[in-house]
Amino acid sequence: MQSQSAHTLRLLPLALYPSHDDETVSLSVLRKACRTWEIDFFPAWVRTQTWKVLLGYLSPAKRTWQETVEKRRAEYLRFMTDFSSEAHTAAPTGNILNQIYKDLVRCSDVDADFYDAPVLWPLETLGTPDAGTRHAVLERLESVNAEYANCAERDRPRIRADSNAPLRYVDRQWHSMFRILYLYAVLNPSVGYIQGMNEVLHVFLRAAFRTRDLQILDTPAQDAELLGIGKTCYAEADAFWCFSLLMGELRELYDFGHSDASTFAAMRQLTDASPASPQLRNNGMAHALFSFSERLHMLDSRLADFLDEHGLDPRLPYYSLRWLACVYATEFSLDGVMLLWDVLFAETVQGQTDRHGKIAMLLDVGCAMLLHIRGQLYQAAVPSTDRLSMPSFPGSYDSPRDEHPPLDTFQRIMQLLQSYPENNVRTILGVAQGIQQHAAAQHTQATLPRDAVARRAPQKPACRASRGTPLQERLAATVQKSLHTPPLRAASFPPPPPDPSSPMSPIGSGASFLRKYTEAFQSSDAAASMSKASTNLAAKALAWRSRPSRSVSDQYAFTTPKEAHEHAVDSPQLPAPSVVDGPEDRDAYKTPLHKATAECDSLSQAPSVGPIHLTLPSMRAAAELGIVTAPGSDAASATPPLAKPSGLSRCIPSGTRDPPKPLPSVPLPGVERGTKSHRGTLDSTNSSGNGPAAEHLNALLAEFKSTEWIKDK
Amino acid sequence: MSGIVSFKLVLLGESSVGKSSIALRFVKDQFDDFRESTIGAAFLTQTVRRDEDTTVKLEIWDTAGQERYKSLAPMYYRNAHCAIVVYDITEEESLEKAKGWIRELQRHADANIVIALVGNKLDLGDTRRMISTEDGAKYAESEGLMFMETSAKTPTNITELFDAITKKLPLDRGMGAAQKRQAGTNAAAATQQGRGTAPVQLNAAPPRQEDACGC
Repeated sequence: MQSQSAHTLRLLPLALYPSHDDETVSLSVLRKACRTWEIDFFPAWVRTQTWKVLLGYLSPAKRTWQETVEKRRAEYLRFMTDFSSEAHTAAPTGNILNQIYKDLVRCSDVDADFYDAPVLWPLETLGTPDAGTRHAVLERLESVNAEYANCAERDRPRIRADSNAPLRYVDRQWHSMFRILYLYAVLNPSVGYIQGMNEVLHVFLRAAFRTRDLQILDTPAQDAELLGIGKTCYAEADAFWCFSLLMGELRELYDFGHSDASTFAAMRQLTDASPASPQLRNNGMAHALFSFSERLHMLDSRLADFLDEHGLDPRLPYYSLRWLACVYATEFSLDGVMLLWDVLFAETVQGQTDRHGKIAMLLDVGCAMLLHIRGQLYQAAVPSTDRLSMPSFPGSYDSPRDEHPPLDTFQRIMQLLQSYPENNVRTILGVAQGIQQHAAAQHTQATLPRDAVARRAPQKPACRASRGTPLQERLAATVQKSLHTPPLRAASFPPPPPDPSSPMSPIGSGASFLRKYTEAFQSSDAAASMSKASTNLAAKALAWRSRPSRSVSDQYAFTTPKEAHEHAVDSPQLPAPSVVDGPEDRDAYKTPLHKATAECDSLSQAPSVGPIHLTLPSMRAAAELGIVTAPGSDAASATPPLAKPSGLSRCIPSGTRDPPKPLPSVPLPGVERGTKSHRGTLDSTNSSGNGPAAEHLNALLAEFKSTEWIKDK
Repeated sequence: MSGIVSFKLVLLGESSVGKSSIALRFVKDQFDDFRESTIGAAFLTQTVRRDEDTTVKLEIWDTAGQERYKSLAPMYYRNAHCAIVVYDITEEESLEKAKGWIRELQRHADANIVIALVGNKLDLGDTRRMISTEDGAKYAESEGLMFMETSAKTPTNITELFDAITKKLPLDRGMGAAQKRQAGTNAAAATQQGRGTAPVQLNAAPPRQEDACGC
């Protein structure tokens, strides 16, 4: 069993390769690979593909990929057509165009290699109208922005005719970014474009950029096109969808308060609907920062008090806001950010506990960043004259400081936190994962009696019923209903921006249904699919209203990625447990033991992870190229040693479909140690560690122990 | 009153008018043609010798200019002793935004705050100027603000700007000691702790600034 798991991880590229004969990708294997930082060991396309699946752009059912990708890429171009022309986007978008341009042009000078890199669009595959479409947005920019209108010729896209190549339409990366951000802002008017989004999008396109640069050689054109190898022109559409999905999940981080009346009114409505937790529900960034602070207090109250005392509590938008609003894209190196995002994407919106999984992860990282440099933070409070001669002695920040106003301390700490000194993201991630496990363990402990009951047999059917077909049907009905609601006079477009996320949405019955439904299903993954669906709804509704002549049924016969996923789950021939992202899967992550058990469980069930047949020429070619790794001895030497899945040795024998039972003899991590947070967690991960994470945790444990005296003092 | 006196200064204004560039020129005497946009806010400090016995330390909050970040601004300008509101002389719109900021400061910031209106990008004045010096100066005069046109690039008037502001600051109101900041942040924190009280709503509007200097 142990070797099979290792096998599976090592063969991740095969599992993700489009034309390999695995039918489905196991989400639990993907998540595990992300959480144990394995993605770094594989070629670049494995990461982009993993992200696409985990974000829900692609379903785990591989047979749907080709269709999905074609449809989505075509859809993207259609949006572009619909929203490029001035007819549909009047005054308000001028500001958006200007703002995005300003931000991109500033970045492009700093990082010209990427921003100015050419993107080639073969005209014969896209057709001239599409090329014209992409150009149209830039023409609009030209009409509203004098600077762009006057810019050098090299900044403009153009048709290139090389002597021995077909006509090609040449863009630059920043043109791609420009279109994506613009389109996202137009399609999500309640969010719009917010500075910082460009940094987030940049990471997606960078990842795609790396994939493009892989050699293609014998990889079949279809596979290469699907994966985005060799050509950048599809990266734009793919990045748009991935970016939209991520923004949908992290939407609350871009709500900075109640700056305008409409947001406030929308919040009112929500508050009226459920008076229980009015402020906490829709408070966006302010709430996230507040949770950040709370969590830090829980983990290390002394550090939290110290920061608070110096006016640097993370709930103040001084340094923490940028960390979150850019999803850490500006705090670490690109490699580091990608690794961090792997771990982030392994979390679902509905996390292990009752928290938003992704945001909880982001907050854990933030806490880890503070904890990790707390020695330096304490040190910053020591008056500068004493600093050289004294070790980091936390008591001294209380010393008289007439000569040194506390401003110095504030300033020094801000300097540290504004350009974070530690660039080894692995260390930070190790700590963050420790915190995460601790929180999960505490949650498990808190809810253990209820869970223990719930885990017995009837759980699964009930749960399936609530998030399976009925939801699917009702959602589909909602989509249909809202689409068949008569448009609000196409002529009046665009005044009240239709946005299903907002209760004020003019989509009407559909929107209120969605809202109600979202609330009802907040405790399930349905919430995630709703937010994704709602993004699509907004887009569809807008597109429809702007183009009333199209046949509705034709144009809107679509499923969201999540729906496709659920279809996959529901179809009988697929091994449901290995792909389902359901509560049993989530439970599995509550403790390493449960995780291992579930994994072991699903492995035994999933036909998809059987022996790999290297019969396909494409696979052989890919393996030779190193795009995928062939199994066997070559693979063993080619890939770095993998995690020892130690938990597996203790797991329940395979073949049973009973939910994993907690084994009473194995202590839950962190639980017994009560609130001695990281220490307890780190200790316990020794015994149930998973790969590099465990090693780092061990190293950190040593470090933490050596600094623990600070706390005890 | 001697030694170091600290003041809190906030930079406000529309996106990409050059707030960060002004700050960077003043603090590090550097200039980049392109600077990445500020997310949230950035914090810098610089000390200025005001006279023989007094050094003034300016604690600078360089804020994000985008409209969407506007609701956060009170977190940065609260308790500020001085504000530099920047516009871009090549962009008409930016002066309107600057006026909006000034109105907000007059309503919600400390009643005695020293405000300077600054038209930046003077280096482009010959070729692309859209706002005349008179327009800016006239508005500043009517509102009782300091006024200056600057270029962070060349650099022109940057040191002069900060010198002039420093001279204007009443020394007895600076943060000579810890308590002031302490009080300020704790209050901010306490309000935040009230979960969801928007920072915007914190301040009961202080009386409009009447005694502003007419420089």
